[in-house]
Amino acid sequence: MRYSYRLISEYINGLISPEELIRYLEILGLNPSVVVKSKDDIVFELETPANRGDLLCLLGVAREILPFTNASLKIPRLTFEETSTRITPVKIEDENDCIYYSCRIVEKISVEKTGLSLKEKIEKLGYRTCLNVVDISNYVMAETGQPLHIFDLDKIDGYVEVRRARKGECLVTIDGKKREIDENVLVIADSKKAIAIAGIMGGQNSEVTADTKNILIESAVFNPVVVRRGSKKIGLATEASARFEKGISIDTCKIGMARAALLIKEICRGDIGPLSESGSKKKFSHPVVKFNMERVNKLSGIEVEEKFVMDLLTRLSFKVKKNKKFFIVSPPFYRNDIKEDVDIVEEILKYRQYETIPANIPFASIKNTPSSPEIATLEKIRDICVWLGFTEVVHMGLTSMDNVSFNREIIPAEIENPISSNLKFLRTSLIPEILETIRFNIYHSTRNFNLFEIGKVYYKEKGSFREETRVSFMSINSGNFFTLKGKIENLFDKLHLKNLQFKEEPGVFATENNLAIYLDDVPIGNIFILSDEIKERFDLKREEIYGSEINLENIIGKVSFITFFKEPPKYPSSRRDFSFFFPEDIEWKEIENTILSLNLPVEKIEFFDFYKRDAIPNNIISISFSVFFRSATGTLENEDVVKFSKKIIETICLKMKGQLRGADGET
Amino acid sequence: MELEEIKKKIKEVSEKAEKQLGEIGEEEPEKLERWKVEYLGRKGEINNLFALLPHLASEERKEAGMLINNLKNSLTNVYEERKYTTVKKEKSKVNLSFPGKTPVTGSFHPITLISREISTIFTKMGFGIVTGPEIETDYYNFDALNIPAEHPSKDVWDTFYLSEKEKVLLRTHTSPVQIRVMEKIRPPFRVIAIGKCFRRDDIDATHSPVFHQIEGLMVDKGINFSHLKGVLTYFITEMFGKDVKVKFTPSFFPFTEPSAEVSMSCNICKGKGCPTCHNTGYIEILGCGMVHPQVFRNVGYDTDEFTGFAFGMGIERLAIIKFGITDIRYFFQNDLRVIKQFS
Repeated sequence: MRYSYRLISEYINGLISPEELIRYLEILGLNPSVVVKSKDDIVFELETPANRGDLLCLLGVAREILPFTNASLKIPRLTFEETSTRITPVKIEDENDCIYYSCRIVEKISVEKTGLSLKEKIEKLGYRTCLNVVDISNYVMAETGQPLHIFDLDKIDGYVEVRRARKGECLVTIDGKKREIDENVLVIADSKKAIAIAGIMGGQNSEVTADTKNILIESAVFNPVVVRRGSKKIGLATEASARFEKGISIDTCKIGMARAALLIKEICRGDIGPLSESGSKKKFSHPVVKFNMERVNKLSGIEVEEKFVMDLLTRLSFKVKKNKKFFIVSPPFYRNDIKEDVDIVEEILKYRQYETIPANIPFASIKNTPSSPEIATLEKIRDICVWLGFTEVVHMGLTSMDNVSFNREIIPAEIENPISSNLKFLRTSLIPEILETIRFNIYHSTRNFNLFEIGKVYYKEKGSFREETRVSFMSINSGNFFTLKGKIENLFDKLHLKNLQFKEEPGVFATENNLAIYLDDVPIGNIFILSDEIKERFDLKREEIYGSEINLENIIGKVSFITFFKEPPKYPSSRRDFSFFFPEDIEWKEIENTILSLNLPVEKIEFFDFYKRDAIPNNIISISFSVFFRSATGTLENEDVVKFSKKIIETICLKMKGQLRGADGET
Repeated sequence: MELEEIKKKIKEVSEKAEKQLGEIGEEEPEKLERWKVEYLGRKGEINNLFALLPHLASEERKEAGMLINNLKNSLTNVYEERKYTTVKKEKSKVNLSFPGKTPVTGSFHPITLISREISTIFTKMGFGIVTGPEIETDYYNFDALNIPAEHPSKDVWDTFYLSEKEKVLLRTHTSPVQIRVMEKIRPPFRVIAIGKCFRRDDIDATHSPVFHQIEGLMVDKGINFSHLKGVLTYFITEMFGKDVKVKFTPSFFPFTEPSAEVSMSCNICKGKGCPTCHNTGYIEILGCGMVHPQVFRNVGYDTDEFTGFAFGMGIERLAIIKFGITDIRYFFQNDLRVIKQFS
């Protein structure tokens, strides 16, 4: 709501300047933002906390700043004379829905356009001015915080009842909209029909017009939750509903009624009838909060003077009692936010001002604070990915139905209340969103790049929701499949994960060229040449794209960053290069295993080339590799190495149908 | 033609060849090649000598042929030897003005950079880093944090539900991690949690339905509001520099009491007032407070024994302030022209 310096000043005995007012509100954290600044007034808005409905009125703000000043609160006049005896009977169907309901008839009033002085106030508060009765009800809400409603009495049949709407009931509200209401919505009704949606908005069928002669003023306390549900149900939130949802006390309700009757009598004249009420006769039950100075000091870290606490709480209209050790206080009726000692501590610190509290570094116990084990691993993987030349991307993880339909075996998690259809599902793979990013960057003329993302995917399994951390890689027009495969092998190597296997299997993003990755015989991911069909789907037909996705859940526990020092070899190694013709479908692992099975002093075998040329007969490829021989006990003699090479050549030719193309090289 | 005459010619060619070879410097490979053509080439001196052979009688031809062959072999050998030692030295002066070759490097996403910077500051103060699920329940996201159901104070956390009936949702903040930590361990401890959060906000320059948060929690005997100020002031000055002014003002969160909002002097206008700080000179950067006793009761902590503080902040917001990024959408657009700026 809007507030004005002048209007607030009407409730203060004493003088404060507009600058002081704004500064106090800033200290209290209400973040005033000035809307209009004129010669003699400032109009501003405040950010009031959700638990402080009492600040949504001029009186409330006046009360709140008083402790900074010597001024006192000027409570508006509340007394008037009843000059009629007519009442409208009131019924409450369920006192859980409506804690208290009161109404009062005012007869023979003159409904006119609002006069200048009220009009000015109403406009400062940001309302549109209208008929005087309506403006008064708005002004009283701004003044006291109590939402009121005014009915045209002559449009009401018999009595007034607060009840749940009936299934299929309808009401046209004063904004001209037809509202379908049901038993979730609380209404005010007369003997025949609903005439208002309780706490939210009145009905057109009982609205005050320029022809109105007799009115019924309503001031009530509705159940905050019921108002909130009703407001959500019909999709209508008003200034009244916002206040009811935060909770209003019966005392405020009574003040609101009195102010409305009094102002109507003054401005519209007419005869005021007696109060007709129903519901809780109980007064607001003041919670009692007990605390001592030790608790205040323990929580604040400063020594607060007892007198300061005493004065402050008194100025804030708390009832304060003090015995030897404890303060026993109870808050004023409008402070439904005060429930326990910490709430009092906040009041004390607010008015002591947060700025005056020193900033101290705690002396804390040294205790090994546990970190989740995956953090270090994930960060290490992130580092390695960047070392390997990949650039990190981060996606929302909310995506379209299309993007979760690649793998039919996975049941995606679906948002019940999405903001749009393309953000309706939780991703089941990191790849689709990355493909969209690839397209975006290619459209913006970045052509060759490598991307990775570490993030969660989500799915449904056996009726419950699961999340799983993954890493994905994409290589776009940068090298070939083996460039990417090499980087991923390097990643596993750096993570000291040894028992790794690759198997050709159809995958989700490539049916043909897909390599499944197994760690300790458990499938953990894939490396693939993105299929043409998917490329086409993402408008990436012309790009060369290789990808990989790896589930990190199974890896995190197995990764090791512990490295034991190994003495560098004392004796030199000898290298021999070999080239063989093999059948096209030869498995590299077979060649490697065959050589290793010979029990020669082989240190490592390095693949370096394969090719298939026109000159070579069909179904045959040429494979070249180097074998490094090294002995731990001495330098290998040339004759030995020749012998080893011969053995390799013989075995490969004999056992693997390889055919020697050439062998040379010496290191 | 006489044999002697040919022998004389062979000797002449041999001497001339040797003399000329001697004149070729070590850095003149092109001269050496010319020499090779002149003597050993197809129309070279050696072949010229061979061409004379038909003029001789057959006995003489054999002898002369052998001599020419010897000469050819020795010249070839000399040539081969010299070839390896006669190398053109590179000119030592290189034009160094051309730009260097751009290496292929990877980059971290700005969200990672900021998260790491924040975690480094807190781990220096002994905080551990913990994680929690992104798919949460109503209990952890709201109830346990003292956020009342069906109250306007819940409105800031407009929630995506996966199943409203089963009370399964996407966490709207990292605060549920607080509860999960406290259910597992006893004080004293200090932790931060980093991660993705989801709110039903429409996308615009300052709102995103997905964003990242850092949550902090420190619980011990004797932790008080001045410690909250101390730790967070240290964090902000480490992150944004010693000249930054830090302001604590009252605020409201259901899970802390007293609560505070922390602002720092605007690093764009240096506190003079600009659109970023709405002309106030200050930018809000985080929310915090002393852990509400109800939260402690929910996890079975003794509220007389332990006190603690908690704080939470948006990572994108911090990155926006730190890097001067103008629109939150840049974080999820993954434009490499943007990400690569922050390597």
